[in-house]
Amino acid sequence: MIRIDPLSPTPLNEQIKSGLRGLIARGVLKPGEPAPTIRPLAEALKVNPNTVARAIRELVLEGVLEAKRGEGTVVAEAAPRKAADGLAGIRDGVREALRQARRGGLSWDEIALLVRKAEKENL
Amino acid sequence: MNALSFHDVVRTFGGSRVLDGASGIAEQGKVIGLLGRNGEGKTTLFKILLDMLAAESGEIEVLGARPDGSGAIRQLAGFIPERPAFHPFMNVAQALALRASLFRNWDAGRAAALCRRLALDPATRIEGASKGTLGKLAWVCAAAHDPALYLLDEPTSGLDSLVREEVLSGLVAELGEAGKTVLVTSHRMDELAGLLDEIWVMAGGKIVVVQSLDALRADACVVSGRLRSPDAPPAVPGAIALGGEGLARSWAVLDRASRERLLGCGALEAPTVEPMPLDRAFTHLLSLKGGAR
Repeated sequence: MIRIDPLSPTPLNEQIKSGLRGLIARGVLKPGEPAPTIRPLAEALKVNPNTVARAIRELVLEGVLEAKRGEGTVVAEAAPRKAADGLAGIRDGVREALRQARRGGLSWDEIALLVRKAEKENL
Repeated sequence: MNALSFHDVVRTFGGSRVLDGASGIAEQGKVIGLLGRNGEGKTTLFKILLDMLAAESGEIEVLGARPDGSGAIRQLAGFIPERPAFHPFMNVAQALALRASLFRNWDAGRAAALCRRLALDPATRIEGASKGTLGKLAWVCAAAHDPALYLLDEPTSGLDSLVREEVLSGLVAELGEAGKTVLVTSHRMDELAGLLDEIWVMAGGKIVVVQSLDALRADACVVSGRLRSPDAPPAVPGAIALGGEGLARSWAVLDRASRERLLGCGALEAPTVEPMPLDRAFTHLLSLKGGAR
């Protein structure tokens, strides 16, 4: 359902959070629906359950997920908007990276090549 | 609380010090990857921790017990040896029954559930069984008595990718709130990268590096730059020279202190820092010799 790269320098809990936010932003997970549970997600991703638990705890603190008594964790009403805000942050980050790449001397063709390479590697 | 600790452990074989003052502490609940080249003493350390082999000197405590030759520690730990061996004339069910007779806390229900989970048929004969079948059986044998500590020596070695996945998922299922401690060696540490809390590097019979995986993830990098002077490439402890062209040089750096030493030594013009994926970091850790850091 979500993909992570255990070898990437990005902390695993951040990768899991981005993955879950992405599912919500794309409407795969909708408000009120149960969030993925820790053990199956940990087993599917081959990560330590403590790391998944931490990611879910942090998403609850951020208001993306909501802990409901007797129902476990569900997607919060405000989650799609929050996830979309997160995406806006990612877009800004990409624009900033492009600006730096241009300043650093990369041509648009070289940048396009990097994007295609990343796509091929399923980054 | 510590699940295991060992201090200054020495063991020689035919005059060669396979363990030469090895020390380490595993906190309860941690998953620790033990990295080291062949012959650096990992398997000997496991056998000593399990009280299957005696140390010549050193202090050892495993789950509150000290090795005394009684086999008490072996009862408490789940162990996958480097080369699991089973009697060829038995089938899987008989091999498990033999284990059940040896382990006081053996849980037959748990063993059956593990077999179902891994699709391991109890009627399979050991003789002629595939490596995958034996790998699954080794995992069931290690886990069926619900141990608080796992010592896994190459648990996925020789298994095809499907069985590796299944064994790894089985390991993931053991982690979490239960607070089980794992010490695992693997030549494929990359596939364990999502599980590990710490990495230990063994070289020359000692644990030479202990690093949290979060720190390794955040700090491992390649530093590149141009030498200010052609005659003095800096020798910075912890910076692994990767070579270069002309005055351009790069180093692999695996911890923050070494990175700061290299960036602060003043020998580099226009240095850049590029994050390093963990598989590369593991390879560089493997190249470290005793006392390198």
